[in-house]
Amino acid sequence: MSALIILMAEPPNSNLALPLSTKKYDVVEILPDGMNPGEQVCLPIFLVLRVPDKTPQELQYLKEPVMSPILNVVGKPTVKHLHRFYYNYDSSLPSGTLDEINSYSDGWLIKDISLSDIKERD
Amino acid sequence: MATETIKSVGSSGRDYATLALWEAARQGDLVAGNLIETAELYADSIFTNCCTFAGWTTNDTNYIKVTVPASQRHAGKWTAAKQQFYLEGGVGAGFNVLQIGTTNPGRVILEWMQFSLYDTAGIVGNFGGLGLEDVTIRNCIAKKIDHWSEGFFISLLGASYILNNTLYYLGGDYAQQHTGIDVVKYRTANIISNNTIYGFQSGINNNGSSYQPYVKNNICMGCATDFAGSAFDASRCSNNMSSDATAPGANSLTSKTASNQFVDVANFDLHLKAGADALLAGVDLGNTWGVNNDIDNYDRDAVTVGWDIGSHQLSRPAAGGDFKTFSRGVCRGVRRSMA
Repeated sequence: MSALIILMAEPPNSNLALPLSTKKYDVVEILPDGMNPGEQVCLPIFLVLRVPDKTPQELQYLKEPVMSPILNVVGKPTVKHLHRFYYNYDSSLPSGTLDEINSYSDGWLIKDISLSDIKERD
Repeated sequence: MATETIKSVGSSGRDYATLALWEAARQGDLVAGNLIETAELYADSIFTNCCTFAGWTTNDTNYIKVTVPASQRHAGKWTAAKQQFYLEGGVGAGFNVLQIGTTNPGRVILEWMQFSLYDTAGIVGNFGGLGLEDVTIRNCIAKKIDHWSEGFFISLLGASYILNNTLYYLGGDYAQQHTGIDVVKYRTANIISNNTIYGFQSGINNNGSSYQPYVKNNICMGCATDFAGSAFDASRCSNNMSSDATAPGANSLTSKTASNQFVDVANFDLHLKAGADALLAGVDLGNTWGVNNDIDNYDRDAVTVGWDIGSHQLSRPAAGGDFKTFSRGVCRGVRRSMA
């Protein structure tokens, strides 16, 4: 079992003008379920999503970036989006879950999800 | 004065369990807010992932810093009970600095960490970036366990300062590609000062840099080629030391014996020992980005007689110090100045 850590709010210093900024709902970390993610890894900034039957090693691909065909000066592809995968927050949540998250403004909230709730950027 | 925010990172109930979480939570425009963002790493367990820095706006005053609190730091040689990374895998497993500036290059400082590397291409690079970033790496220890890897891969970075680090390879299989500090272009010259590097295929590799690096006060010994790659610009190099004939620049020492320099080569204690050729053979480089603080956090500016070569400063004023070493160094300095 694994835990996906989702960024649920813009960080306090965020500069969204920068193309590589982490975006709201990005999957930013994968941890073993049960591991303390940190005292500040909680709502309203972070949401913890539990994925049954998958190990963190199996989910490491969720931390991949999206690469661009634009090459840098040594001919290597550059990064287009820092995070390829994000939580489909608006449409995939079961009835009532959205309200629960929105009302849970300060603290840990752990929800079970399936990988179909995680979407991929182009 | 910039406001510094310090957060703890570690697996035992710290602010953030991993650096990636801290990076995601704290990234942003530090210049607009006149901020410094600092992560302190705790030795709760071995770190197995670093992170990519992207989405920040920083400069030389408002920067990112990843450091280790004094109680959690190494003792100038590999220290098992203290903070450490074990990094294994493909390219980019270490720190990757992609976007920490906009029109101007930004700054990230990485210090006091221990890295154990297996089949990974470096602690710091700019993989997948356009190359505008400035990095300071200081007072770190990196050991390569086996297989292909590089200590610090300085690729596509800007005015980077690599200061007072100790890097070594446990093996001896020169057929494998591995380098202590690999400098690959770009933007402007990198500064590599007072590092100690031992046992790699290449110690410091000048890998076709567009701008020649400044290389001063470094020890590279026991490598297949100590100072390797393209020819170094001798006018930007001085006071280096090698066990082969490759140490570049004025006042450099060549064909020296490693066992005469270090406390315990077999066990990789690369502190200098009394009588070492490196004592007081360096040049005073001032205090830019903390080059004056050695691998034990001793301030070289406290020494009025001169600098040693390498990451460790053994020569110290006589009060409570090693007077024989001190006086021998003075004599050596006098001899050198008379020559």
